[in-house]
Amino acid sequence: MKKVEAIIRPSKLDAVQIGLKNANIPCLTVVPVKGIGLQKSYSESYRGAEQTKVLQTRVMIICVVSDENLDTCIDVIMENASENEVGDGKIFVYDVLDAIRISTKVRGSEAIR
Amino acid sequence: MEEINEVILQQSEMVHAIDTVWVALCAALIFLMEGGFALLEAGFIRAKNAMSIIAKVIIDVTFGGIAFYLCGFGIAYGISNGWVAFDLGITDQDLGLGLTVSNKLFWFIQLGFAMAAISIVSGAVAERMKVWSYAVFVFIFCAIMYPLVANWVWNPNGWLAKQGFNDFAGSAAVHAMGGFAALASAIVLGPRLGKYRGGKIIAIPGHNLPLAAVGAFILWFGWFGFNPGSTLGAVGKWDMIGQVATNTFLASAAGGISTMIYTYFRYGTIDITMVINGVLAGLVAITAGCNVVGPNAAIIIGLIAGVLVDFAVVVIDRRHIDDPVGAIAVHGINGLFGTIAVGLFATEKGLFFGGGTHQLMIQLMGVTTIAAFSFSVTFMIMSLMKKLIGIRVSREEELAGIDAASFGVEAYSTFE
Repeated sequence: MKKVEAIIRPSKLDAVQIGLKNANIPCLTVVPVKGIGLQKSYSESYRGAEQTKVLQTRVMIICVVSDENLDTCIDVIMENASENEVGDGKIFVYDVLDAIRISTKVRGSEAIR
Repeated sequence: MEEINEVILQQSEMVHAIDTVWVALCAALIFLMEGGFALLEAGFIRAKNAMSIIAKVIIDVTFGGIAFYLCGFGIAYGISNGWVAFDLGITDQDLGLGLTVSNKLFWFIQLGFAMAAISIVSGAVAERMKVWSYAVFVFIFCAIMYPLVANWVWNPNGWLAKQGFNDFAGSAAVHAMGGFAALASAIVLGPRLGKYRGGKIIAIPGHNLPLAAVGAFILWFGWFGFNPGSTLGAVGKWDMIGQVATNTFLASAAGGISTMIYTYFRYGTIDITMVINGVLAGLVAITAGCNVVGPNAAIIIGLIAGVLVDFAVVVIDRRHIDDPVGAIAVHGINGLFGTIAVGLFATEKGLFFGGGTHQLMIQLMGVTTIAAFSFSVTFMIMSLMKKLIGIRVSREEELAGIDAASFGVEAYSTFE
Protein backbone atom coordinates (compact mmCIF):
# COMPACT_ATOMS: atom_id res chain seq x y z
CA MET A 1 0.00 0.00 0.00
CA LYS A 2 1.22 3.46 -0.87
CA LYS A 3 0.02 6.92 0.09
CA VAL A 4 0.15 9.42 -2.75
CA GLU A 5 0.19 13.13 -1.85
CA ALA A 6 -0.14 15.39 -4.86
CA ILE A 7 0.00 19.16 -4.61
CA ILE A 8 -1.68 20.58 -7.70
CA ARG A 9 -3.27 23.73 -9.09
CA PRO A 10 -6.86 24.20 -7.80
CA SER A 11 -8.03 24.61 -11.39
CA LYS A 12 -6.84 21.06 -12.17
CA LEU A 13 -8.72 19.39 -9.32
CA ASP A 14 -11.81 18.45 -11.35
CA ALA A 15 -9.82 16.91 -14.18
CA VAL A 16 -7.62 14.93 -11.79
CA GLN A 17 -10.59 13.68 -9.80
CA ILE A 18 -12.45 12.55 -12.92
CA GLY A 19 -9.28 10.94 -14.27
CA LEU A 20 -8.72 8.98 -11.05
CA LYS A 21 -12.34 7.88 -10.94
CA ASN A 22 -12.12 6.60 -14.53
CA ALA A 23 -8.96 4.73 -13.56
CA ASN A 24 -10.96 3.03 -10.79
CA ILE A 25 -9.30 5.01 -7.97
CA PRO A 26 -12.37 6.83 -6.63
CA CYS A 27 -11.36 7.41 -2.99
CA LEU A 28 -9.43 10.55 -2.15
CA THR A 29 -9.07 13.34 0.38
CA VAL A 30 -8.61 16.95 -0.71
CA VAL A 31 -7.04 19.66 1.46
CA PRO A 32 -6.73 23.34 0.53
CA VAL A 33 -3.11 24.35 1.11
CA LYS A 34 -0.81 27.36 0.75
CA GLY A 35 2.81 26.86 -0.06
CA ILE A 36 5.88 27.91 -1.93
CA GLY A 37 7.87 26.06 -4.53
CA LEU A 38 10.09 27.27 -7.34
CA GLN A 39 7.50 29.82 -8.50
CA LYS A 40 8.21 33.50 -7.85
CA SER A 41 6.10 35.49 -5.42
CA TYR A 42 3.74 38.08 -6.84
CA SER A 43 2.19 41.27 -5.52
CA GLU A 44 -1.26 42.75 -5.56
CA SER A 45 -2.66 46.07 -4.45
CA TYR A 46 -5.11 46.09 -1.52
CA ARG A 47 -6.61 49.47 -0.61
CA GLY A 48 -3.63 51.33 -2.07
CA ALA A 49 -1.00 49.29 -0.21
CA GLU A 50 1.14 46.77 -2.06
CA GLN A 51 0.70 43.25 -0.82
CA THR A 52 3.39 40.69 -1.58
CA LYS A 53 2.00 37.20 -1.71
CA VAL A 54 4.73 34.68 -1.02
CA LEU A 55 2.51 31.62 -0.57
CA GLN A 56 0.58 30.23 -3.51
CA THR A 57 -2.85 28.67 -3.24
CA ARG A 58 -2.89 24.99 -4.16
CA VAL A 59 -4.86 21.87 -3.26
CA MET A 60 -3.38 18.67 -1.91
CA ILE A 61 -4.90 15.37 -2.99
CA ILE A 62 -4.25 12.42 -0.71
CA CYS A 63 -5.05 8.90 -1.85
CA VAL A 64 -3.96 5.53 -0.59
CA VAL A 65 -3.60 2.93 -3.34
CA SER A 66 -2.46 -0.64 -3.68
CA ASP A 67 1.06 -1.24 -4.98
CA GLU A 68 -0.19 -2.33 -8.40
CA ASN A 69 -2.33 0.84 -8.76
CA LEU A 70 0.49 3.23 -7.84
CA ASP A 71 1.85 3.83 -11.33
CA THR A 72 -1.63 4.34 -12.78
CA CYS A 73 -2.43 6.81 -10.05
CA ILE A 74 0.73 8.84 -10.64
CA ASP A 75 0.28 8.77 -14.41
CA VAL A 76 -3.31 10.01 -14.17
CA ILE A 77 -2.34 12.87 -11.86
CA MET A 78 0.59 13.92 -14.04
CA GLU A 79 -1.51 13.74 -17.17
CA ASN A 80 -4.31 15.87 -15.79
CA ALA A 81 -2.49 18.31 -13.51
CA SER A 82 0.24 19.50 -15.82
CA GLU A 83 0.58 22.73 -17.72
CA ASN A 84 4.26 21.97 -18.32
CA GLU A 85 5.11 25.02 -16.23
CA VAL A 86 6.83 25.81 -12.96
CA GLY A 87 4.07 25.82 -10.36
CA ASP A 88 2.34 22.64 -11.54
CA GLY A 89 3.07 21.08 -8.16
CA LYS A 90 4.68 17.89 -6.83
CA ILE A 91 3.77 14.31 -6.04
CA PHE A 92 5.06 12.51 -2.96
CA VAL A 93 4.76 8.76 -2.35
CA TYR A 94 4.93 7.09 1.07
CA ASP A 95 4.72 3.54 2.37
CA VAL A 96 1.58 2.78 4.37
CA LEU A 97 1.72 0.41 7.37
CA ASP A 98 -1.93 -0.48 7.53
CA ALA A 99 -5.44 0.66 6.64
CA ILE A 100 -8.67 -0.01 8.50
CA ARG A 101 -12.20 0.52 7.26
CA ILE A 102 -14.04 1.71 10.35
CA SER A 103 -17.51 0.47 9.39
CA THR A 104 -16.54 -3.16 8.66
CA LYS A 105 -13.29 -3.28 10.68
CA VAL A 106 -11.57 -4.84 7.65
CA ARG A 107 -7.80 -4.29 7.63
CA GLY A 108 -5.06 -4.15 5.02
CA SER A 109 -5.46 -3.87 1.26
CA GLU A 110 -9.11 -5.02 1.57
CA ALA A 111 -9.87 -1.76 3.36
CA ILE A 112 -8.82 0.47 0.49
CA ARG A 113 -10.65 -1.39 -2.22
CA MET B 1 -69.03 75.54 14.39
CA GLU B 2 -68.76 72.29 16.23
CA GLU B 3 -68.70 70.41 12.94
CA ILE B 4 -65.84 72.55 11.64
CA ASN B 5 -63.87 71.90 14.83
CA GLU B 6 -64.51 68.22 14.37
CA VAL B 7 -63.14 68.32 10.81
CA ILE B 8 -60.03 70.26 11.88
CA LEU B 9 -59.42 67.82 14.71
CA GLN B 10 -59.73 64.85 12.37
CA GLN B 11 -57.37 66.42 9.85
CA SER B 12 -54.80 67.16 12.49
CA GLU B 13 -55.09 63.58 13.70
CA MET B 14 -54.49 62.39 10.11
CA VAL B 15 -51.37 64.55 9.77
CA HIS B 16 -49.97 63.13 13.00
CA ALA B 17 -50.77 59.59 11.92
CA ILE B 18 -49.27 59.87 8.44
CA ASP B 19 -46.11 61.58 9.67
CA THR B 20 -45.75 59.05 12.46
CA VAL B 21 -45.90 56.16 10.02
CA TRP B 22 -43.23 57.77 7.84
CA VAL B 23 -40.87 58.67 10.68
CA ALA B 24 -41.28 55.32 12.46
CA LEU B 25 -40.52 53.50 9.20
CA CYS B 26 -37.41 55.59 8.53
CA ALA B 27 -36.24 55.26 12.14
CA ALA B 28 -36.36 51.48 11.79
CA LEU B 29 -34.40 51.66 8.52
CA ILE B 30 -31.75 53.78 10.24
CA PHE B 31 -31.60 51.29 13.10
CA LEU B 32 -30.82 48.50 10.62
CA MET B 33 -27.73 50.45 9.56
CA GLU B 34 -26.09 49.18 12.77
CA GLY B 35 -26.25 45.70 11.26
CA GLY B 36 -24.59 47.14 8.18
CA PHE B 37 -21.79 48.67 10.25
CA ALA B 38 -21.30 45.36 12.10
CA LEU B 39 -20.99 43.25 8.94
CA LEU B 40 -18.92 45.80 7.02
CA GLU B 41 -16.42 46.17 9.82
CA ALA B 42 -16.30 42.45 10.61
CA GLY B 43 -15.62 41.62 6.96
CA PHE B 44 -12.85 44.19 6.63
CA ILE B 45 -10.80 42.84 9.56
CA ARG B 46 -9.17 39.50 10.39
CA ALA B 47 -11.27 36.52 11.49
CA LYS B 48 -9.58 36.39 14.90
CA ASN B 49 -11.19 39.74 15.84
CA ALA B 50 -14.51 39.45 14.01
CA MET B 51 -16.62 38.90 17.13
CA SER B 52 -14.90 41.71 19.02
CA ILE B 53 -16.05 44.21 16.40
CA ILE B 54 -19.59 42.83 16.58
CA ALA B 55 -19.39 43.39 20.36
CA LYS B 56 -18.28 46.98 19.76
CA VAL B 57 -21.24 47.70 17.49
CA ILE B 58 -23.57 46.15 20.07
CA ILE B 59 -21.98 48.53 22.61
CA ASP B 60 -22.68 51.42 20.21
CA VAL B 61 -26.36 50.48 20.29
CA THR B 62 -26.75 49.55 23.95
CA PHE B 63 -24.46 51.91 25.88
CA GLY B 64 -24.92 54.62 23.26
CA GLY B 65 -28.70 54.23 23.28
CA ILE B 66 -29.07 54.45 27.05
CA ALA B 67 -26.67 57.41 27.18
CA PHE B 68 -28.66 59.23 24.51
CA TYR B 69 -31.81 58.61 26.55
CA LEU B 70 -30.43 59.69 29.94
CA CYS B 71 -29.08 63.10 28.96
CA GLY B 72 -28.04 63.06 25.29
CA PHE B 73 -31.44 63.98 23.91
CA GLY B 74 -31.96 66.66 26.57
CA ILE B 75 -28.60 68.27 25.79
CA ALA B 76 -29.33 68.19 22.07
CA TYR B 77 -32.97 69.25 21.88
CA GLY B 78 -33.84 70.87 25.23
CA ILE B 79 -34.14 74.64 25.73
CA SER B 80 -30.84 75.75 24.21
CA ASN B 81 -28.76 78.86 24.85
CA GLY B 82 -27.21 78.34 21.43
CA TRP B 83 -24.50 75.97 22.64
CA VAL B 84 -26.03 73.60 25.16
CA ALA B 85 -29.27 72.64 26.86
CA PHE B 86 -29.60 71.08 30.30
CA ASP B 87 -32.62 68.80 30.07
CA LEU B 88 -32.75 65.15 31.03
CA GLY B 89 -34.59 62.23 29.48
CA ILE B 90 -37.23 62.78 26.81
CA THR B 91 -38.91 66.11 27.58
CA ASP B 92 -42.61 66.68 26.89
CA GLN B 93 -42.24 70.35 26.04
CA ASP B 94 -42.58 71.74 22.52
CA LEU B 95 -39.09 71.50 21.03
CA GLY B 96 -39.71 74.40 18.66
CA LEU B 97 -39.14 72.23 15.60
CA GLY B 98 -42.79 72.19 14.48
CA LEU B 99 -42.90 68.45 15.01
CA THR B 100 -45.98 66.50 13.96
CA VAL B 101 -44.72 63.34 15.65
CA SER B 102 -44.41 62.70 19.35
CA ASN B 103 -41.22 63.70 21.16
CA LYS B 104 -40.64 60.02 21.90
CA LEU B 105 -40.69 59.04 18.23
CA PHE B 106 -38.46 62.03 17.47
CA TRP B 107 -36.08 60.72 20.15
CA PHE B 108 -36.13 57.29 18.52
CA ILE B 109 -35.18 58.55 15.06
CA GLN B 110 -32.50 60.85 16.54
CA LEU B 111 -31.14 57.86 18.45
CA GLY B 112 -30.35 56.27 15.08
CA PHE B 113 -28.20 59.27 14.16
CA ALA B 114 -26.30 59.17 17.45
CA MET B 115 -25.63 55.44 17.07
CA ALA B 116 -24.50 55.91 13.46
CA ALA B 117 -22.03 58.61 14.57
CA ILE B 118 -20.41 56.44 17.23
CA SER B 119 -20.41 53.33 15.02
CA ILE B 120 -18.03 55.16 12.69
CA VAL B 121 -15.46 55.13 15.51
CA SER B 122 -15.83 51.39 16.15
CA GLY B 123 -14.38 50.61 12.71
CA ALA B 124 -11.28 52.76 13.13
CA VAL B 125 -10.35 51.24 16.51
CA ALA B 126 -10.92 47.66 15.32
CA GLU B 127 -8.60 44.80 16.27
CA ARG B 128 -6.80 46.56 19.13
CA MET B 129 -9.02 48.57 21.49
CA LYS B 130 -10.01 47.33 24.95
CA VAL B 131 -13.71 46.65 25.01
CA TRP B 132 -14.55 48.28 28.40
CA SER B 133 -12.56 51.41 27.57
CA TYR B 134 -14.47 51.57 24.32
CA ALA B 135 -17.76 51.32 26.22
CA VAL B 136 -16.74 54.28 28.40
CA PHE B 137 -15.98 56.36 25.33
CA VAL B 138 -19.27 55.36 23.68
CA PHE B 139 -21.15 56.52 26.76
CA ILE B 140 -19.40 59.91 26.86
CA PHE B 141 -19.79 60.37 23.11
CA CYS B 142 -23.53 59.66 23.02
CA ALA B 143 -24.34 61.38 26.33
CA ILE B 144 -22.45 64.65 25.78
CA MET B 145 -20.22 65.03 22.71
CA TYR B 146 -22.60 64.19 19.87
CA PRO B 147 -25.58 65.89 21.57
CA LEU B 148 -23.64 69.17 21.80
CA VAL B 149 -23.03 69.17 18.07
CA ALA B 150 -26.63 68.16 17.35
CA ASN B 151 -27.65 71.12 19.53
CA TRP B 152 -25.59 73.57 17.45
CA VAL B 153 -26.83 72.19 14.12
CA TRP B 154 -30.41 71.04 14.66
CA ASN B 155 -31.78 72.68 17.79
CA PRO B 156 -33.90 75.68 16.63
CA ASN B 157 -31.80 77.88 18.95
CA GLY B 158 -28.45 76.36 17.99
CA TRP B 159 -25.82 78.89 16.96
CA LEU B 160 -25.18 77.19 13.62
CA ALA B 161 -28.87 76.60 12.93
CA LYS B 162 -29.57 80.30 13.45
CA GLN B 163 -26.98 81.25 10.85
CA GLY B 164 -28.61 79.03 8.23
CA PHE B 165 -26.05 76.20 8.34
CA ASN B 166 -27.49 73.53 6.06
CA ASP B 167 -26.72 70.02 7.25
CA PHE B 168 -29.90 68.22 6.28
CA ALA B 169 -29.22 64.72 7.60
CA GLY B 170 -25.79 65.11 9.12
CA SER B 171 -22.73 65.10 6.82
CA ALA B 172 -21.22 67.34 9.51
CA ALA B 173 -23.13 66.53 12.71
CA VAL B 174 -23.04 62.76 12.23
CA HIS B 175 -20.33 61.84 9.71
CA ALA B 176 -17.62 64.47 10.18
CA MET B 177 -18.32 64.23 13.91
CA GLY B 178 -17.83 60.45 13.92
CA GLY B 179 -15.03 60.53 11.34
CA PHE B 180 -12.83 62.97 13.21
CA ALA B 181 -13.44 61.20 16.50
CA ALA B 182 -12.29 58.06 14.63
CA LEU B 183 -9.16 59.89 13.45
CA ALA B 184 -8.22 61.02 16.96
CA SER B 185 -8.91 57.54 18.37
CA ALA B 186 -6.78 55.83 15.71
CA ILE B 187 -3.89 58.25 16.36
CA VAL B 188 -3.93 57.78 20.16
CA LEU B 189 -4.35 54.00 19.87
CA GLY B 190 -1.56 53.53 17.35
CA PRO B 191 -1.53 51.05 14.47
CA ARG B 192 -2.15 47.32 14.68
CA LEU B 193 0.97 45.23 15.26
CA GLY B 194 2.70 44.53 11.97
CA LYS B 195 0.82 47.15 9.97
CA TYR B 196 3.87 49.34 9.37
CA ARG B 197 7.32 47.77 9.27
CA GLY B 198 10.39 49.92 8.79
CA GLY B 199 8.36 52.65 7.10
CA LYS B 200 6.69 50.15 4.78
CA ILE B 201 2.91 49.75 4.68
CA ILE B 202 1.86 46.13 5.06
CA ALA B 203 -1.60 45.27 3.73
CA ILE B 204 -3.75 43.35 6.22
CA PRO B 205 -6.59 42.07 4.03
CA GLY B 206 -10.11 41.71 5.36
CA HIS B 207 -11.10 38.11 6.05
CA ASN B 208 -14.58 38.10 4.51
CA LEU B 209 -15.15 40.61 1.75
CA PRO B 210 -18.60 39.31 0.70
CA LEU B 211 -19.71 39.93 4.30
CA ALA B 212 -18.32 43.46 4.11
CA ALA B 213 -20.22 43.97 0.85
CA VAL B 214 -23.48 42.81 2.42
CA GLY B 215 -22.81 45.27 5.25
CA ALA B 216 -22.37 48.03 2.69
CA PHE B 217 -25.65 47.10 1.00
CA ILE B 218 -27.47 47.26 4.35
CA LEU B 219 -25.95 50.68 5.04
CA TRP B 220 -26.96 51.76 1.53
CA PHE B 221 -30.52 50.57 2.16
CA GLY B 222 -30.65 52.22 5.57
CA TRP B 223 -29.52 55.51 4.05
CA PHE B 224 -32.93 55.76 2.38
CA GLY B 225 -34.28 56.14 5.91
CA PHE B 226 -31.41 58.31 7.07
CA ASN B 227 -31.83 61.04 4.43
CA PRO B 228 -35.52 60.93 3.41
CA GLY B 229 -36.49 60.36 7.07
CA SER B 230 -34.83 63.63 8.02
CA THR B 231 -37.87 65.42 6.60
CA LEU B 232 -39.42 64.33 9.96
CA GLY B 233 -42.80 63.99 8.27
CA ALA B 234 -44.52 63.27 4.98
CA VAL B 235 -47.49 65.66 4.93
CA GLY B 236 -46.50 68.69 2.87
CA LYS B 237 -43.05 67.23 2.34
CA TRP B 238 -43.76 64.50 -0.20
CA ASP B 239 -42.05 66.49 -2.93
CA MET B 240 -38.89 66.92 -0.87
CA ILE B 241 -38.85 63.21 0.05
CA GLY B 242 -38.64 62.38 -3.65
CA GLN B 243 -35.86 64.89 -4.21
CA VAL B 244 -33.88 63.63 -1.22
CA ALA B 245 -34.24 59.95 -2.15
CA THR B 246 -33.23 60.60 -5.77
CA ASN B 247 -30.21 62.69 -4.82
CA THR B 248 -29.15 60.10 -2.25
CA PHE B 249 -29.20 57.36 -4.84
CA LEU B 250 -27.52 59.35 -7.62
CA ALA B 251 -24.61 60.44 -5.43
CA SER B 252 -23.98 56.89 -4.21
CA ALA B 253 -24.03 55.46 -7.73
CA ALA B 254 -21.69 58.18 -8.97
CA GLY B 255 -19.37 57.53 -6.03
CA GLY B 256 -19.17 53.86 -6.94
CA ILE B 257 -18.50 54.61 -10.60
CA SER B 258 -15.72 57.12 -9.98
CA THR B 259 -13.95 54.77 -7.54
CA MET B 260 -14.17 51.91 -10.03
CA ILE B 261 -12.66 54.01 -12.80
CA TYR B 262 -10.03 55.54 -10.52
CA THR B 263 -8.79 52.26 -9.02
CA TYR B 264 -8.84 50.55 -12.42
CA PHE B 265 -6.50 53.12 -13.93
CA ARG B 266 -4.43 53.61 -10.77
CA TYR B 267 -3.84 49.97 -9.81
CA GLY B 268 -4.73 48.03 -12.94
CA THR B 269 -7.67 46.28 -11.31
CA ILE B 270 -10.92 47.50 -9.80
CA ASP B 271 -10.40 47.43 -6.02
CA ILE B 272 -13.82 46.29 -4.89
CA THR B 273 -13.14 47.12 -1.24
CA MET B 274 -12.49 50.69 -2.32
CA VAL B 275 -15.65 50.68 -4.46
CA ILE B 276 -17.61 49.80 -1.32
CA ASN B 277 -16.02 52.83 0.34
CA GLY B 278 -16.72 54.91 -2.78
CA VAL B 279 -20.44 54.18 -2.67
CA LEU B 280 -20.54 55.05 1.03
CA ALA B 281 -18.48 58.19 0.39
CA GLY B 282 -21.09 59.34 -2.14
CA LEU B 283 -23.80 58.72 0.44
CA VAL B 284 -21.95 60.63 3.16
CA ALA B 285 -21.22 63.55 0.86
CA ILE B 286 -24.83 64.02 -0.30
CA THR B 287 -26.26 63.77 3.22
CA ALA B 288 -25.81 67.47 4.03
CA GLY B 289 -27.21 68.87 0.82
CA CYS B 290 -29.73 66.33 -0.47
CA ASN B 291 -32.57 68.80 0.22
CA VAL B 292 -31.07 71.78 -1.62
CA VAL B 293 -29.16 70.42 -4.64
CA GLY B 294 -30.45 69.22 -7.99
CA PRO B 295 -29.94 65.69 -9.33
CA ASN B 296 -27.08 66.63 -11.65
CA ALA B 297 -25.24 68.34 -8.82
CA ALA B 298 -25.79 65.18 -6.72
CA ILE B 299 -24.01 63.15 -9.40
CA ILE B 300 -21.07 65.58 -9.45
CA ILE B 301 -20.84 65.49 -5.64
CA GLY B 302 -20.83 61.68 -5.76
CA LEU B 303 -18.15 61.56 -8.48
CA ILE B 304 -15.86 63.81 -6.45
CA ALA B 305 -16.52 61.88 -3.23
CA GLY B 306 -15.64 58.57 -4.91
CA VAL B 307 -12.17 59.80 -5.89
CA LEU B 308 -11.65 61.79 -2.70
CA VAL B 309 -12.09 58.65 -0.60
CA ASP B 310 -9.38 56.78 -2.55
CA PHE B 311 -6.91 59.61 -2.04
CA ALA B 312 -7.83 59.92 1.63
CA VAL B 313 -7.37 56.19 2.35
CA VAL B 314 -3.86 56.27 0.88
CA VAL B 315 -2.85 59.58 2.50
CA ILE B 316 -4.06 58.43 5.94
CA ASP B 317 -2.22 55.11 5.50
CA ARG B 318 1.02 56.88 4.46
CA ARG B 319 0.87 58.90 7.66
CA HIS B 320 0.83 55.57 9.50
CA ILE B 321 -2.64 56.12 10.91
CA ASP B 322 -4.21 52.66 10.87
CA ASP B 323 -7.90 52.68 9.91
CA PRO B 324 -8.78 49.08 9.02
CA VAL B 325 -12.16 49.88 7.44
CA GLY B 326 -11.56 53.32 5.92
CA ALA B 327 -13.94 55.07 8.35
CA ILE B 328 -11.92 58.28 8.50
CA ALA B 329 -11.74 58.60 4.71
CA VAL B 330 -15.39 57.72 4.15
CA HIS B 331 -17.07 59.60 6.98
CA GLY B 332 -14.56 62.22 8.13
CA ILE B 333 -13.17 63.50 4.84
CA ASN B 334 -16.41 63.16 2.89
CA GLY B 335 -18.47 64.56 5.74
CA LEU B 336 -16.23 67.59 5.48
CA PHE B 337 -16.51 67.69 1.70
CA GLY B 338 -20.28 67.08 1.65
CA THR B 339 -20.97 69.93 4.05
CA ILE B 340 -18.80 72.32 2.05
CA ALA B 341 -20.39 71.09 -1.19
CA VAL B 342 -23.71 72.56 -0.05
CA GLY B 343 -22.13 76.02 -0.29
CA LEU B 344 -20.97 75.22 -3.82
CA PHE B 345 -23.81 73.25 -5.37
CA ALA B 346 -27.02 74.42 -3.60
CA THR B 347 -29.45 75.49 -6.29
CA GLU B 348 -30.37 78.71 -4.53
CA LYS B 349 -27.44 79.74 -2.36
CA GLY B 350 -24.52 77.83 -3.89
CA LEU B 351 -21.45 79.59 -5.28
CA PHE B 352 -21.65 77.72 -8.61
CA PHE B 353 -25.27 78.76 -9.05
CA GLY B 354 -24.68 82.46 -8.49
CA GLY B 355 -25.52 82.42 -4.80
CA GLY B 356 -22.25 84.03 -3.73
CA THR B 357 -19.97 82.90 -0.95
CA HIS B 358 -22.24 83.61 2.04
CA GLN B 359 -23.57 80.06 2.41
CA LEU B 360 -20.16 78.57 1.59
CA MET B 361 -18.55 80.50 4.45
CA ILE B 362 -21.21 79.36 6.92
CA GLN B 363 -20.75 75.74 5.79
CA LEU B 364 -16.96 75.99 6.06
CA MET B 365 -17.06 77.55 9.50
CA GLY B 366 -19.64 75.09 10.80
CA VAL B 367 -18.01 71.90 9.61
CA THR B 368 -14.46 72.91 10.58
CA THR B 369 -15.69 73.82 14.06
CA ILE B 370 -17.42 70.45 14.39
CA ALA B 371 -14.41 68.52 13.06
CA ALA B 372 -12.00 70.40 15.33
CA PHE B 373 -14.28 69.93 18.35
CA SER B 374 -14.71 66.22 17.68
CA PHE B 375 -10.99 65.65 17.06
CA SER B 376 -9.68 67.60 20.05
CA VAL B 377 -12.19 66.35 22.63
CA THR B 378 -11.79 62.73 21.48
CA PHE B 379 -8.01 63.12 21.55
CA MET B 380 -8.16 64.39 25.13
CA ILE B 381 -10.56 61.69 26.35
CA MET B 382 -8.60 58.90 24.66
CA SER B 383 -5.27 60.21 26.00
CA LEU B 384 -6.73 60.51 29.49
CA MET B 385 -8.18 56.99 29.36
CA LYS B 386 -4.85 55.71 28.03
CA LYS B 387 -3.17 57.02 31.20
CA LEU B 388 -5.89 56.00 33.66
CA ILE B 389 -7.34 52.68 32.50
CA GLY B 390 -5.50 51.77 29.29
CA ILE B 391 -7.16 51.65 25.90
CA ARG B 392 -5.16 49.02 24.09
CA VAL B 393 -5.22 45.25 24.52
CA SER B 394 -1.96 43.56 25.49
CA ARG B 395 0.49 42.46 22.84
CA GLU B 396 -0.26 38.79 23.56
CA GLU B 397 -4.00 39.38 23.30
CA GLU B 398 -3.60 41.26 20.03
CA LEU B 399 -1.49 38.49 18.51
CA ALA B 400 -3.83 35.73 19.69
CA GLY B 401 -6.92 37.67 18.62
CA ILE B 402 -9.32 39.51 20.89
CA ASP B 403 -12.09 36.98 20.23
CA ALA B 404 -10.28 34.07 21.81
CA ALA B 405 -8.42 36.08 24.46
CA SER B 406 -11.23 38.34 25.74
CA PHE B 407 -14.46 36.69 24.67
CA GLY B 408 -13.53 33.03 24.58
CA VAL B 409 -15.17 32.53 21.18
CA GLU B 410 -14.18 31.99 17.59
CA ALA B 411 -16.11 33.59 14.74
CA TYR B 412 -15.83 30.41 12.74
CA SER B 413 -15.50 27.44 15.04
CA THR B 414 -14.29 24.44 13.15
CA PHE B 415 -15.51 20.81 13.00
CA GLU B 416 -19.30 21.23 13.33
